[in-house]
Amino acid sequence: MFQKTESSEFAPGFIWQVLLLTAIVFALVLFSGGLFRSPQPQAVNTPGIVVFPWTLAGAHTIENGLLAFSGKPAQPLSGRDQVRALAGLLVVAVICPTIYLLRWRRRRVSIQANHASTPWRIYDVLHGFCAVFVLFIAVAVVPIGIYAEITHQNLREAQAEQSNRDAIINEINFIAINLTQYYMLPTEIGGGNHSYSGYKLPDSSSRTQVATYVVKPSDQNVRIHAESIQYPSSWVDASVDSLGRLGQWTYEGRFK
Amino acid sequence: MEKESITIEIKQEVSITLLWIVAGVIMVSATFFLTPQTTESWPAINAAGIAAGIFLCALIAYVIRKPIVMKQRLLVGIIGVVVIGCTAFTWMKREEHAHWQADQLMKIRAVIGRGIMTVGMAPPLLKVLDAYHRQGPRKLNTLADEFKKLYPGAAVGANVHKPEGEWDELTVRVESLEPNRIVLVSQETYVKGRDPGFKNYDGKIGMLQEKYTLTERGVTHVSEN
Repeated sequence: MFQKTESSEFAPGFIWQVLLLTAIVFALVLFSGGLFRSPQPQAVNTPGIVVFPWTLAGAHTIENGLLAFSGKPAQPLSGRDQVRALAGLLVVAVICPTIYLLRWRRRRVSIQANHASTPWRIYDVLHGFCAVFVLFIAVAVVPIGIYAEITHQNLREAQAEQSNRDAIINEINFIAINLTQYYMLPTEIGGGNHSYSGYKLPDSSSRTQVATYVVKPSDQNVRIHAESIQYPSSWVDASVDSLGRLGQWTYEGRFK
Repeated sequence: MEKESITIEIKQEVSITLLWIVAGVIMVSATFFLTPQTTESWPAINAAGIAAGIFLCALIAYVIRKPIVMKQRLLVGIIGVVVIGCTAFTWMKREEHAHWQADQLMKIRAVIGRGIMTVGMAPPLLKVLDAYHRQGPRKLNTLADEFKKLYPGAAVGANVHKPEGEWDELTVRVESLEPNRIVLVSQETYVKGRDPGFKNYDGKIGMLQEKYTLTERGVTHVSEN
């Protein structure tokens, strides 16, 4: 179908139009930091060049989460980051695949017709770049997805452990309050009259949804032992002194 | 004659390349900017991503049409579907993960808030309880008297928390100050509690709130929201 021709392969100015468009997009990606300065320093850093727009959207969501943490209102994505996200998407999903795939088709059709490929030209440099880029993205996206999912699961698991530990510490704090008031109260109304001896943990406090608790009271201090229900081999130890102060925290198992 | 027809064909193909790029850039950019820009960046980025996905599907369908042989059509088509599918999966997971992380921040903030409230309310009440019972069996002062010694001028509705800095926004209000019953209540101004419909002490709705009650038998705690 196609024959080798001495005529120009391209429409007049085509290469320059494509090169210019690509250069503009790349320039926007590379130098957008200078063009669209963010009015405020950002807590979540993102790389200068963003290939996948979800990197920016994710960072923005967490940035807004941090603002909410401090009681500040959420902010929209800055103009700089909008351009960065869009530029990355255009390079990855529009410009490079179009140049690569259409050129690939032309070469395949040409080979099928002539049993020989079309000669390499200047345009092939751009095509080669796009081919490398598209193939890199295509190959990288699978491990990126798997790695992101593994990281996500690990983070969830670590957060679940941390939440369980925090909940146990919180309950130990309440046990310590209960112990302190027992220590202060006179024996007539069920207290220890300045002693922890005889303290018994209320049933509602000895087993909760997060842990089981055992207290070992002596006269002037108490040892509290908490074993996690969610992570059976993990436990927290603490002691309460005669002033009601918690101390000597020990974390074992997955809480270590 | 043949050369001219080839040149025209090539020029057509080249023009088509440019047309595809321009169409794709306009389609994706228009989708991105026409989606309402709010404080949530995902809708616009997702919409642009969907537009880019549609564009890529159309491009692949165009590229693998005849006369490309069936084997290559299948190969490119399958690779295209796998790559677009994996990208979409990773994209959705990243969105889910980012929102999860932001939610975790607020959960951590709530845990910190409850902890600060406990530290801000329980120890002063235990001090009052200790002072009250140290009087022995014949008590001259009530719990309220002992409380007022600790917080001179304290009255119902007053904030008895002394801020430790500009950052310290905690308030501990006296809800009730009876001779032998003192109720302290503390709430967050922007951290949501468990029940979104809960009416807070200051009239706000759905904020985290903790309450401590002191009687001569000790301190009781209620996590109200």
